[in-house]
Amino acid sequence: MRAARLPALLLLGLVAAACATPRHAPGALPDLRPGERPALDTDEAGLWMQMDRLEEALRTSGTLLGDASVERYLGGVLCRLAPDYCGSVRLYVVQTPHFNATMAPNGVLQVWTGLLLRAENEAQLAYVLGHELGHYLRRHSLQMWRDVRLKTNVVAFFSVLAAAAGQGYAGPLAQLVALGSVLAFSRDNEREADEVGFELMARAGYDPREAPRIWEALEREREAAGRSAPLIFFATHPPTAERIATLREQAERAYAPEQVWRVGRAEWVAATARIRPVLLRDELRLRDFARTAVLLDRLLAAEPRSGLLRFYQGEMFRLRAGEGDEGRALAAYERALAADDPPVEIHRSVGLLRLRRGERVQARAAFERYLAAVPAAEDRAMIESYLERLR
Amino acid sequence: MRRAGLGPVLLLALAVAGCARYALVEPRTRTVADLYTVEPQIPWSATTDDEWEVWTVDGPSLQAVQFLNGLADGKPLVRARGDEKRPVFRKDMTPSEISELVTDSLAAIGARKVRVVNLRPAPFGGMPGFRFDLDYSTRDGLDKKGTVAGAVVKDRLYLILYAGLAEHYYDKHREAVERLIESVRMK
Repeated sequence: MRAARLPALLLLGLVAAACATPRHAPGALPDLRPGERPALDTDEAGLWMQMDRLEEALRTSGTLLGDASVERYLGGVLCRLAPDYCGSVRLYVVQTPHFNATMAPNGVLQVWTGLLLRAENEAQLAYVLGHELGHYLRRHSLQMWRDVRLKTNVVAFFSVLAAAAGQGYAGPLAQLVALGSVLAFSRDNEREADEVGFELMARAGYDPREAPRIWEALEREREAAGRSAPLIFFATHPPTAERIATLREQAERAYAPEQVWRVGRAEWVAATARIRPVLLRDELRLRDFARTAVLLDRLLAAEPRSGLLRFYQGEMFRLRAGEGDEGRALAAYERALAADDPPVEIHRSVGLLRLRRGERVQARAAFERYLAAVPAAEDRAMIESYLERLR
Repeated sequence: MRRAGLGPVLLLALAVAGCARYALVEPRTRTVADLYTVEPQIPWSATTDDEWEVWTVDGPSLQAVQFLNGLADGKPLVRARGDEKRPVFRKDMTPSEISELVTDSLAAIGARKVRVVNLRPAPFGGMPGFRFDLDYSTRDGLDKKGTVAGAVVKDRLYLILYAGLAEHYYDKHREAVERLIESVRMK
């Protein structure tokens, strides 16, 4: 682990020198040094100041998840990836069911909870964080900002940003996206960030083969959702076949079978277990059932014994309420009850469906189990009124 | 960057200023949705927004009574933007499912950490109905409280949703709203 303590910059230099792609695209800027803040008389300082203001708004907004243990865990992964920069990056966990991570030039790293629901292990998260760190270290925002300014002017830059931020995103997301610089970085920037992310994760000992896996999983979800519901991350990070192929090649090259690689599945599951019900509920609130179905199938393939995931699969069918969905929901609830640790609300959901189907005896049994499991339920009086009707 | 965030807000403010016409609701018997009457205890300012009739004293972002006047089967509580999908009302929903429809719709338009409190059966103008309270916060991090009364009448959903800032504004007219809900009489 001595290698990890060497300045990341140096490591990146060594790594990049070994790669076929030039380390810096033409017109690129020197890497940001650990702890570096731009001199006050520069345009970069102006850009940072704008971001500092948005950061202040983010900090007091109602959008943060506010779970200290999850923040600590993610901060740990960040520091493992880039020990020299972890002091200058501020990580915020934003509660929104979309898959995204963004990095602002002043070191504000946003991790959206849709990403926490979708990554299957620590290594996949490490890759995404590494990619964002790549944009930060290479000052891609500044590069983009200068580039746009050369061609147009400041006002145009901001109006383009505003338009992009407003496009297809709900109001509350727009500002979040703006803070993370929604304008797609250039293809060179993206390639460079991928390269940095990939190298950071591999240097930190994370299994490089996990990098293309998360892209592939997201691509399947995107296909299921169709054009009507883009995953926000893809708006700025197109998962081109070329990109996935490149990552796969790099992974195969870097992967040495004799080395012990970290995947961090157990750590990941332990760190995210407590917030998972909230994330799954948030996902269902989007009512984007096609994408949720693909997501749940993938998560269930890895955890077939999860009563929680099976319950939310039932919830998805119950809320979709299409032809045959009642039966599908009940079947999923039954499997959840036979699996590990189904949440207690399952009895209420079963009761509501049985009630709708006129299955009085089963409805009553389910509601009684619910009240026995949660005597102080906020809907106790209502459930008791259903029971009254069923007697 | 601030402009990016302000743009839509500004547009919205202009839109509101341009469209919202407030009319005085005097404290005397008033018909709602051609279905029932209420007896307001205090004067309110009223406007409409899609299927909703909105009454406020200090401004809708501070506190408002919102009447949902007969939402039909298959319709969403809040309008979708662009390609987004919204939870929809189904005429066979139980009060449990209606409370879920309300929380998920609020979440869809930006409410955070929405929680239903004390869901209970309660007559709505003599019809079988329900009540529940709400806790949530806005995207700007302000805490809000709400209370909801409603019923499904002839397959349509009728709601009286009162919400306001937890600090001061919700409590300010809470009693007047309780009296208002008690005064509901079917026509």
